[in-house]
Amino acid sequence: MSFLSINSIAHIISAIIGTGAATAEEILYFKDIRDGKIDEAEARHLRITYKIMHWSLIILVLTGFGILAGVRIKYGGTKTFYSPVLWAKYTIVLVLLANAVLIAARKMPMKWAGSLSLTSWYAAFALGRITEKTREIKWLADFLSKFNFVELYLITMVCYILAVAIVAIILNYLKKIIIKKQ
Amino acid sequence: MSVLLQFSLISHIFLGLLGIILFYAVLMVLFKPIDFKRIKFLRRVSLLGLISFLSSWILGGYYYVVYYGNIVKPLIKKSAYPWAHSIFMEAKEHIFLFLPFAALVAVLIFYILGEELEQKQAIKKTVIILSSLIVILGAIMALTGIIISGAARLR
Repeated sequence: MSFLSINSIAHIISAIIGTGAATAEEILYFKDIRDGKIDEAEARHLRITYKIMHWSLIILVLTGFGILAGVRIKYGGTKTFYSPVLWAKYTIVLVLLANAVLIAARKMPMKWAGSLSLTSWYAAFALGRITEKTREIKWLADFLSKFNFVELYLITMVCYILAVAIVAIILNYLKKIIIKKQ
Repeated sequence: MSVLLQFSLISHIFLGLLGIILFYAVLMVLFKPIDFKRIKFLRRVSLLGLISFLSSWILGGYYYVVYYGNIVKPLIKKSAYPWAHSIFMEAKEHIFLFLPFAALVAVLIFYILGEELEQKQAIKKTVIILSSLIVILGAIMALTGIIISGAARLR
């Protein structure tokens, strides 16, 4: 198994685990908030999913760069390095990391933290799949080639910001209903 | 590219990333109250981060001198992306120097002040800013590396 394959497989596995942990975190949070508060036992479960997300993110970053290093050595610099979809993915990963720091610093309003985290994980996962599929699906590659780097990057980021806002509205609405039911 | 050069490039990347990740961990712990257990963690992790940055520097330097300077740089300058070297690599060569020395300052603060850091909140805030700067600059270095590598179209 080559260096590139090992990194690709580890990257996909940690993306799945991280996205799953982010989803589990939200589900657990809504389950725990039903009584209006999160006690110590519930906080312990949330810390576990949070740790899994953190470790998945670290492995994702390392293996992501491993993939790029493998491609660089095997094929030289390729269009992949300048893919606007991938650069949007890097931006989203940076947002995830910044979100974690701001939560730890208690500077991130909780009504945004959950939606930023959840949307970012799914968005990064989706963008990774799109990048892979553009190599296999001709119509997708043709459609994306109509836009230049800046256009495609901005379109992706606008969609991402809209998705974060929509998910924030949904999650906050659900939280209000769940707490109101008390 | 020889096996040694491949090893140098890959190690340069991974050690640099490891340094960034370790200082990210330092940053996350700094937001909590500093006790004996946490200061031990901060000392070890920041020292490992410093060693990672220094090792990445040496391996990157070897790769640059032996291979990049003679083979890759002329390719990039002749390509459609000469700015990848003239702007991004030139910037990277200078900005990266902040990292090991900023890391050294953080390590010295953790070793000299220890748990006293919790009583000296002004210094603690400064170390938080320093660690944030290390992480942000490190991320910028990693991303500029992608831009530079992407311009090296060998085929």
